[in-house]
Amino acid sequence: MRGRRVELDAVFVLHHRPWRDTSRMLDVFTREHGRLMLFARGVRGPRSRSASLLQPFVPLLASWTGSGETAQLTQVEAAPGGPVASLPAGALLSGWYLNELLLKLVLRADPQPAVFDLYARTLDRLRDRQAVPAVLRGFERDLLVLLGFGLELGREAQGGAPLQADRYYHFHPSLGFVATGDDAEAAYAGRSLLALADDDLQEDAVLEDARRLMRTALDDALEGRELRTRGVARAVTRSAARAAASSVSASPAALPAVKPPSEETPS
Amino acid sequence: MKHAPSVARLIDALRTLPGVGPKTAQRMAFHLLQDGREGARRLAEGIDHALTNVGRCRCCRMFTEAELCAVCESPQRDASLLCVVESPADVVAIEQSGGYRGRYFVLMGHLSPLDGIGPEQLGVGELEALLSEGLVQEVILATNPTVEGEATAHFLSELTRARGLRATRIAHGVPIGGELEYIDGGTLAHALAGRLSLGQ
Repeated sequence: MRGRRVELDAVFVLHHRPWRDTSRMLDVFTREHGRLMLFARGVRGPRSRSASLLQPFVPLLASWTGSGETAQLTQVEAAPGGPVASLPAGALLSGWYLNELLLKLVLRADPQPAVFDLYARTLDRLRDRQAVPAVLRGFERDLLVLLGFGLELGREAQGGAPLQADRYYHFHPSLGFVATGDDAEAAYAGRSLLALADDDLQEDAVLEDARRLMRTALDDALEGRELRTRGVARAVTRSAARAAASSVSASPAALPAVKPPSEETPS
Repeated sequence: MKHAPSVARLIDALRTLPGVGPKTAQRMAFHLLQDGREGARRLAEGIDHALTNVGRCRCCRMFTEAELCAVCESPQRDASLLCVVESPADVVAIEQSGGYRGRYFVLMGHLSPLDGIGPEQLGVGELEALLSEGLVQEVILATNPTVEGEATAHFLSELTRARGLRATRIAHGVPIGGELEYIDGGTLAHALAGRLSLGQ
């Protein structure tokens, strides 16, 4: 595969780190060639014109040569008609959370155009400032389905009977949904599961069930690997809560206290 | 060819410098041992002395030999202005511009959730303590205009505003002497969004 050239494939930069003095190693997600590492030479120099383009969350068209560990970026431009700006600052932590899920769950060099389109759509929803928890739960659900982690919403594991809105179910990651007699603590309401399947994520109770379910399903898919973005999001929320508390203690009249930025908490 | 153990060790040590690969390291090592022995001794002493004596400023985390750096100690600096930057090199760059009379806080990095770098790694606790002292009125967020820098600025602006203080962000836009035609769309969009009224 040496010397292979790819011209202007749609890509997103998922992660990047400096390499040597003026270059970067990019972990990119391409629409037609899956995830790969690209070396971007000279993009950190003072005269680089692509530095401002090579940012996460911006749809790009990129060309490169080579494959495997030695692919070199040869050209990059903004995707025509796409946004030139990154995400709004308040949505960046959510964006990194999506990136970490892709980095940990999508294999290298495994083309996943449907996942690519899902990711692009999800970034657009974050850019439109839609309600973040609902956007993230929808992404998690579709990602697990598209990558074949066997999440079958809407049906029972044994027999495949449709889920009932007024019943309760347990979820076993390797198996699926099993009906349970009562409203046990770890059980999910049938109506929450049906709402998640229909992408009707508005009520708080439904969102909480969806969060809990996706957490369990993702933990299973991640096989014990920690999500770093979750830890950082928690620390950010803690700092914000501390700041809000300090402003209240400093001036009791300054109520209501600033709400911790729950929109930034991935899950 | 195999190097003598001490030479190999020196070459290996030189490779910790940024941008120095095996070949450059070997060239440097041979130069130091051949013609530059006097300079090599000064280099060794300089590194040793700096490592023993240079620490971080208690107030702003900038490199200093005393407990407080020269900026934090100076009574001429405006303690109500605090400029938050990512690295010591940014402090030097702003100082050289000559237009700033306030103090600094050096994060030594930026938020990078995928690398596990969050508020604790950036000394945000120390920054909060500094803000709680009540001297600072305005926090100028001078992190880099990258995605990571923007996320850091956004997070710190929320902390600042929650304390009832003013948070400002340095402007991004067209470089002086630049031509609009050659400027990328992202920068131009920022420049337009941050336009100023003239004649006031």
